[in-house]
Parts: sequence; C-alpha cells; structure tokens
Amino acid sequence: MQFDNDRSFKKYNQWKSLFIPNNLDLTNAQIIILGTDNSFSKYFKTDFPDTNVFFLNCHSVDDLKNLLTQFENKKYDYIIPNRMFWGNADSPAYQLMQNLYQSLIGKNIKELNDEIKKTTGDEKLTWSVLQELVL
Amino acid sequence: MKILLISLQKLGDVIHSFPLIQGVKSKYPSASISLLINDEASGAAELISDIDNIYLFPRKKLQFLLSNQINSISTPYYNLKTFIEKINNQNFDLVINMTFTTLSAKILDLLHSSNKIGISYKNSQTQTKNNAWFRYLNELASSNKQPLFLYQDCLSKALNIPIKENLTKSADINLKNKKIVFQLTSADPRKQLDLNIWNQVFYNLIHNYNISKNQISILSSENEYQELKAFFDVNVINCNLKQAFDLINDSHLFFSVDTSLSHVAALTATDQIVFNLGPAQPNKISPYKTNVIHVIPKINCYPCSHFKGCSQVTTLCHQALDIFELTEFIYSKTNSIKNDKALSQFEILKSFKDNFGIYLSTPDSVLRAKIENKRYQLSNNLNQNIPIKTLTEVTL
Repeated sequence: MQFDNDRSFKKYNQWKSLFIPNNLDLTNAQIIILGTDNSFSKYFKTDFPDTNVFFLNCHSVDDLKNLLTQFENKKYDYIIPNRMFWGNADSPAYQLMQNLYQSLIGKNIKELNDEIKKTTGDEKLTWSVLQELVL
Repeated sequence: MKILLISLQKLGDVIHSFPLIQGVKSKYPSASISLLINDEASGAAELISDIDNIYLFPRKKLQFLLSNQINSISTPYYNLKTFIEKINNQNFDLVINMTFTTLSAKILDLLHSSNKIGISYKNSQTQTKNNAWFRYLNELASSNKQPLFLYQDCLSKALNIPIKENLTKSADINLKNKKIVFQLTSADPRKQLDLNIWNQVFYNLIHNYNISKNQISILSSENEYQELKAFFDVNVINCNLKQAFDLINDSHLFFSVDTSLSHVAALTATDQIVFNLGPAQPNKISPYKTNVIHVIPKINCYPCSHFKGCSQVTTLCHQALDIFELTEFIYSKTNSIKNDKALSQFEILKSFKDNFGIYLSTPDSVLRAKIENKRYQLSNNLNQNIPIKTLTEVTL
C-alpha cells in the first residue's frame, strides 16, 4: 500500500510517532480517537486494519462524556487524542484537547507517577514497570 | 538447576532468539529451562522445543487495566505483583535477560535469584556490569545508531553462549517439486510492495517461465485471508506459525518481506530471499541462518526511520523495482542448485543490480573489522577471535 507523501500523511506519521509507541500492539484493540478528518482516518485504518477504532469529534469535556455514554457497554482499550490536528500548543483547540487528555488517560498517568514518587524498593520498581507500559 | 530466560520481544524477535535459547540448553544440558515472553508472542511456544515452562507476561492485560478509567490504578499493580511472585516462587538458580529494554531490565531486578545475567536497572539507569557487548547494546538502544551486528550475535557474545544454526532437517530438492512460498504483507506498508506487482510477477512466472500455478503459495494470517484469496489466482493458505513452518520446510524457496516468518523459515533448511524495503534493515533483523539472500535498495534514503513516514514524494524503493527483473530473479533462484555460491544467474539482472544490492548473510564476514573501525570502536574486551555474523555484499 502506498501513500502520497502529502502534508496530511506527514502529520499522521508525526501523530503516530507520538501516540502509538512501537511496543503498543493495537491488534483487535478497541480504541477511541478524539478528533479526526478523512485522510487521517484513511491512514489509520490502513495502518491498523485489525484495530476497532471509533473517531469522535467533541468540543468540551461534557460533550465528550455524552458521547462516551453511547459506548457505555463497549469496553475500550485506549483513548488517544488526535492532537496533531488541533493546531499549535497555544491554540484554544489544542488547550481543549490537552484538557480532555488529562481528564482521561492523563489521570492514570498522574496517579502512576505519584505512586512512583511516594514508594521505595521493589514497590517503586513494580510501579515503574507499569510506567513502561503506558502510552 | 532451574534457569529462566527473559525474552520480552515481539514475536519475530523471540523466534530469532531460538538458536541462542538452544545454546543455553547446550551449555546447561541437565537444567530445567523456562522462558518468559510477552503474551502477544505466545505463538512462538509452538515452535520451540527443549523448554520446560513458558510464562506469558500479561502486557496486553496490564495495558488495558492502565488505560481503563473504571479500574483503580492499584488493579494493574497487584496483577503485576502477583505475576512476579508466581515466578519468584519457582526459585530459579539463574535468570538471563535476553532482552534489551528498560522494561526487561526492571523485571530482572524484581526477580529473586542468586545469579542474574543481562541488563538490569538500578539508580534510574540501566546497568551492564562492565561487559563490553552489553555496553555496546545499551549504547545502541539509547542512541538511535544503526546496528552493525545482529542483536543475537551481540547477545551471544555478551552471555558467552555460542550460537549454532540448528536447522530442522535438510531440504531434499527432489522431494519438494520446487515449491515457492511467499509472504507478501507487512503491518508496515512501506515494507510491502503493492499486491498488483505480485499479481504481475505470478502471471509472468506461470506464463513465461513454465512455473506451475500449484508451485506457488502465499502464506496468510486469518485477518488478511479473505482479502488475499480474493486478490490472487494462486494458492493462498491461511495458517498459524506451526503450519507456516511445515509449509516452508516442505518448499524449495521462501520469499518474505517481513521478519516474523523469515525467522520461522530460518529454522528450516529451505532457501530464503528477504526483500528489505522502507525501514527493514538486515543488519538488525537478518534471520540467523547462513546464505539467506537479502535484497536491499541502493537509494540514498534507504533505510527510512521506523518512526517516520517515507520522506520522498513517492516511495522510491518500491518504484525502483522492475517487475520482469524481479520475476527473473525469483525464477533464477527457483532453478538454482541448493547452496550454490556462484549466483551467476544474477549477472543478467543488470538494472536490478543497479537499483538493488544483493547480500548474503554469512557467519564469516570479511567486512567485520572494517566496519568495526569505521563506524564503531568496540572495546578491547571483546573476543576478536570468534567471527560475527553480518552481511557481505555478493560480488557479481
């Protein structure tokens, strides 16, 4: 499968290098990607044909929560922000996505980092093994 | 004696490490050997013998628990803790870390054993215990430098465990009816050619080179089976790793574009051609087997990064291929005598040769010292007397 090396493909690859580490196996995973466009979803579906992906567009945390209730009986493995399409770090859209990210995956990462800080010895090491496994 | 080997790698890399695992078994023939691999690599268990127990590290489950907001953060912690305790209860006499990741280094530190070998993690950094080969691997892992040697070679040196090729059985060309098995797809689209090209290659082989349609088989995973079956007019076989091994072992030639099955094929005596496109680097992933033929693009942008897309306007390494030359190349290997060294039939592939380099993996590379001096100064502690497997360009 060949892609034209256009601007959107470059952006897609930038996003992928940030949010999909090499050791993350998305085979048969259920994932939600926040924010998308047509070319992005085309690249992603070609890259990860065995991943069950839902693309959600939303404008606030409440908006997102409402959307997620539609998936209440669906287990999802990852929620990944499509941050590359939300402009530079100063843009309101980017800040919004940052907040969404922190309210979802970011919560667990923060708790994980807190546990690593307050523990010692094998307990600390066990938490830090988990840290290696997060996005 | 109870030994645990840690190989927390991807499936292909775990299979790639089989010769080293067999080397451990040869070194400790009476020992009970256990293997710790990722749950996603469990398919490798079907292919390896001489292992008494296999422990599956629950990577996928832990990642799910970590990202799922419904669970408390302590749930994955206690899952991991219980798993580590289960292994520690086995009281291993020796634990060997055959993986070069921070994750495996931390796990090695959590395991209790009087004798632990391999990269560990202490004081917020990886530790290599003054072993030059481990230092080389450690530096490689953290520097994004191109590898000079196969990872398994370095590990063999670091652990002082010789690797021997241990092919399942000698291929008998008369019994095989010159079957050709292809593995054409990859999770990374840069590594695989457009399937239309293969359709044309098969058409040429059948209509212009008298290759029978029944001689050609394409291996497929369950996920891609329907798509490939609908696309190709030759045999498409839906198979697991063990079935793929049997099919390759019963063939004259195996042609692949990705690593997992090329490592499976390396366990057989079947001739192999590996097409390296995009980010595929034979110095890093060459199957551990003598005389595997590697075809490598001779263009400036090769190899591209694993982490970035193709940097060109169009995929140059794909376009450099001429379908007729590719057909002729495959045909020439189909009809060559096994293990011939002359490779004389490549000489007619002039433009093929211009665009692509043809390499053989060999255990006695004459380029080793030159490469060492040019690109990396290894420590004097390294054992210089034992040859390192690397790649030698074939003089045509």
